[in-house]
Amino acid sequence: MTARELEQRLRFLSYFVIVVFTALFFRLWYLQIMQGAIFAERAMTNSMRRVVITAPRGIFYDRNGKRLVDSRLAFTVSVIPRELPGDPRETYRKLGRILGMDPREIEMAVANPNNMPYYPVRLKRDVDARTVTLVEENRLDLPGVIVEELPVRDYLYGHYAAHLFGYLGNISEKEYNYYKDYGYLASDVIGKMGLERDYEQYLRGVDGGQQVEVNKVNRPIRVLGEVEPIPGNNLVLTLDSHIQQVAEEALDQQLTWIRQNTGYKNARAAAVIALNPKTGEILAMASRPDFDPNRFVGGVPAEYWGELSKDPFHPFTNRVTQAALPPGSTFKAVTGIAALEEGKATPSDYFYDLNGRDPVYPQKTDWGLAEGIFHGKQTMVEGLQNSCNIVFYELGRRVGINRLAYWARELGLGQPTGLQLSPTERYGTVPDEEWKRKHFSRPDDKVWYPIETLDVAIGQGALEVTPLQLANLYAEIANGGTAYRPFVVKEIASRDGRVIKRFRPEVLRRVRLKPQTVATIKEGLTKVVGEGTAAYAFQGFPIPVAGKTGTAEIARGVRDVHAWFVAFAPVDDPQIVVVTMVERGGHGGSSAAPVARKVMEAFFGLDKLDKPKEVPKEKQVKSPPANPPADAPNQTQATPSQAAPATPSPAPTVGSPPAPPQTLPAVPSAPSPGTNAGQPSAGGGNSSTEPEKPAPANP
Amino acid sequence: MIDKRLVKNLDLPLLGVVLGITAFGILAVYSATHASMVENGGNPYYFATKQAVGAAVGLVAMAFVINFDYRGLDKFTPYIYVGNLILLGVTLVMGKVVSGAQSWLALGPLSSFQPSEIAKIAIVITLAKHLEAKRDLQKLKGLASPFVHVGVPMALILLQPDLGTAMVFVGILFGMLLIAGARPRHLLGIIFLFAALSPLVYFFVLKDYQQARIMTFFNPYADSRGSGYNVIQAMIAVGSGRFFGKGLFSGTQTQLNFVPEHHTDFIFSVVGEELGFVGSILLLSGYFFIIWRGIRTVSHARENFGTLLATGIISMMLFHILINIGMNVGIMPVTGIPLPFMSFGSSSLVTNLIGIGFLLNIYMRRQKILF
Repeated sequence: MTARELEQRLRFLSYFVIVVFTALFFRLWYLQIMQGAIFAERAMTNSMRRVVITAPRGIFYDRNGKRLVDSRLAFTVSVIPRELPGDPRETYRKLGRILGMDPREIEMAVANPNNMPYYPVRLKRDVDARTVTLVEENRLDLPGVIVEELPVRDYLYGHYAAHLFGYLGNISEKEYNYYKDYGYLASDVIGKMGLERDYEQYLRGVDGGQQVEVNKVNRPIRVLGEVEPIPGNNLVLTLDSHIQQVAEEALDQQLTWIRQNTGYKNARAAAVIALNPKTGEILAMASRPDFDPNRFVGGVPAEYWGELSKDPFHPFTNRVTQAALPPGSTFKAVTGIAALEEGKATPSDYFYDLNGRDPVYPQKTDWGLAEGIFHGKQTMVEGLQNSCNIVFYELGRRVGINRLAYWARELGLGQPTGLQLSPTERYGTVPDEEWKRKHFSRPDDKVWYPIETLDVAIGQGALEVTPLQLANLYAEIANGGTAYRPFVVKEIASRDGRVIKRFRPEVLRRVRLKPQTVATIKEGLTKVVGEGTAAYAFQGFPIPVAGKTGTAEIARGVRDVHAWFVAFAPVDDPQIVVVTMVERGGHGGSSAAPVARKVMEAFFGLDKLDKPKEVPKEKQVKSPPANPPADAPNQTQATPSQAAPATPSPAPTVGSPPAPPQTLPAVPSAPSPGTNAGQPSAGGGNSSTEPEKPAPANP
Repeated sequence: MIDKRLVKNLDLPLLGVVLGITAFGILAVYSATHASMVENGGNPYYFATKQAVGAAVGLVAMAFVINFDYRGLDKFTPYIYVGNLILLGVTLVMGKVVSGAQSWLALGPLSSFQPSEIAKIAIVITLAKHLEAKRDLQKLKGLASPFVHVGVPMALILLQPDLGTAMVFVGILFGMLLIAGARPRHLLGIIFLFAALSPLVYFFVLKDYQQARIMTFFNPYADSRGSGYNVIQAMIAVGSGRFFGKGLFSGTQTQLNFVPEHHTDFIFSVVGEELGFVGSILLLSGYFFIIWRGIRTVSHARENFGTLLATGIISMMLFHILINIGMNVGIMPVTGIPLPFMSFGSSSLVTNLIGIGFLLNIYMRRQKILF
């Protein structure tokens, strides 16, 4: 080839070279100069991970600043969806084996479309050290799986107040959609019940974050920046942890005792509530059966959940607010108030129980009939003391159902008390003529029969009341007509102590009750505890207590009855109202009142004065012989009728077996006249310690 | 020994730039690998040291190539051609498979090499000899024998399968045919013909992963975590370097291992990220300088064999540079071919240094030595 030809061809080649290098030059110019900022940003996000630092949830304190519910750090196994291999089934299988989870469950959790690819999906919280070790050891086989240290809920008192506190569970699709703008992750936990649910937005706090530089396999290299989480706000409750504890223990012991020592083998459900009548502050509330919210913190274990959901007594029901049951004789106070306020009776009117039967409807009987006890000539006060049905049949008849229902509503029944706690409280039922018209379809059923008034007058029939309503009703009586909205949260405060919201007592209504009405009812209720149906349970109690037992029939032919007891103390200056309810628990005086007594002892600090459990043995020997050996704390709750079932006589219980309660040996167990200060004596020829019996069923 | 008068004709600037880029390559390999080596408890200098050893071997080979007159080679071309085929054949039978391709041959217990790298030089030498004698390149049928000459070893390499290296052969063939006197329009016609046939090749010849690479070239974001991952990460690395780069050893994409194969095929992303536009253009200029000196060598060669030999070598390097940098910046499909003097890998480094050796050799002997 000639030099000229070569030169031509080389020029051709040179052009090509220049094109190549120019193209590369401009491509670099484009990438590095024009798009440089964009790629720099992408390189940043590439190597940056935002690590969520979960904010510790707000703490629950009792009224004295004692911690009730806190958070602790626990290991959590999570998955970062983006880091999973292309086919993650093998990872799911291995992880499932370690965590004891179904791989499909993991797959579903990861597949949740609300998950964000770079954020961890929490699979199992609060795993043990062995599980953590297993995950770490298999790190190479588990790409995308991480172990985080996250705060989990710690219910310091276990199952105590479980219904009130509630529990946490995985956020549902619906909840996520509602809460997602508040920084929730699709695998977060959220309050599902009780205060945890109601105050979710206060308790949660704001998650913090860490910017971490990671390498390609997502291993953190260094922390670039950190935003501290803002802890959730604390709740200061009106609860008193000591009273709560006593109430819980007393309830458990009482239920066991009832099942073991009486014919009421189905006594498994119960509730107790204590509140301050002058403010509405709830001091303690407990419900049975219950559950342990600590067992939910790592995700709900299937077998425990199954056990709870199969329980025919529904452990998740907060019976304080959700058990609407006939109140039995505890309602007699309402009937009495109605009669006095309506002018249908005076405190000095006499009522006659001659044969244990209502003179108009002889099928309506008194509990004494079965045992041959007839109360004879009684005032309203004595009627309350004896829980004599005959007296209240007559009062009910005089008042009439519609006015009786009116007064029941004036005293807060058939409507919410206004306690802000989920699940929503039940309203109960106050039947009257209109109610029947509305609720029944058959013309015969729409008619109110006068005999039904008699049922309502003694707290039976269609009447239904929750323990909370009853507590608030008696608080209203104790206050002479002023009702407060019950509340359980005193204060919401930030972690550094700043008060965010303070809840104050709120008067719901002031019913103008005549002073004479209040005095009469209080006198009757005081005698119930002093000499009447609750006298045995409150034997030796040093502070004057007013109360009422109730033994409510469930339905015709059902042998089991609900036990109620409601009381307030001190009578002159009521500071606490306690309601105890034991479903299918038997008699109010024997099955419910003892729990209320213990709660009151705790409230007045009496349990601290005398703790038999802590008394050294040599001292126990010196205690009065009447004191039983400390074998069964519940035995003091046995009633004469149970200890000696066939005893019809109104035998005084002092010194008779079983032994009196172990409290306050210095105080005589028989009520002294002084305890009923200012109250006219009832001229006591009547029996004082007989438990009431349920009214026989309607015809 | 080499004639001292020849030494003064040595293209020292070319040698200097090549040595500079090689040293730069060792540094880049170190930057790409030291962090992850430390993280895995290894020696941070492992790859850099191996590359330096490769460079030393390559320089010895280069010196050897410079030492004798390239014209003495033409007697050996049949042996070189056949030897090369045998080597490639042996590789297919007993080669070691690395990342899907059987392209490695053990060289004792400690090292191995890629015969397909050496094959590039072998083909350049033998094709130069073949074309030197050909007088019918102006005609279309005259192009048949060069195609066969390159086609046979190329087929063996495609069987490994190593599409990238095989494509380099096409680059060498076309570059050398152009300089040897084939009509450009013939060459362009053949290119268009292949382009027209490429769909058939795509669907019936290429393997799945090769198809994916081609598709990825057109849209890397279609599978950004799979086959598109490399390209996207490399582009992010290069782009994020901006004007001055993030500083040597400070590129997040590089140091945190976001770009796979960033010490071999994607070494350019390290330069782009850590040294920015400035470093990239400097390196590009170095390559441009090498190609320019190569073209100068072509035009100054004493006879056609030297002309064609030099052409083959610069075609080879140009093709490597274009494809490799092109894929690092997302304008070329991902094919596993190394960047000359930069990518980690002794076979490639030695081959390229031998190639430079030939360029120096040809330039050095460009004129009759006057006594």
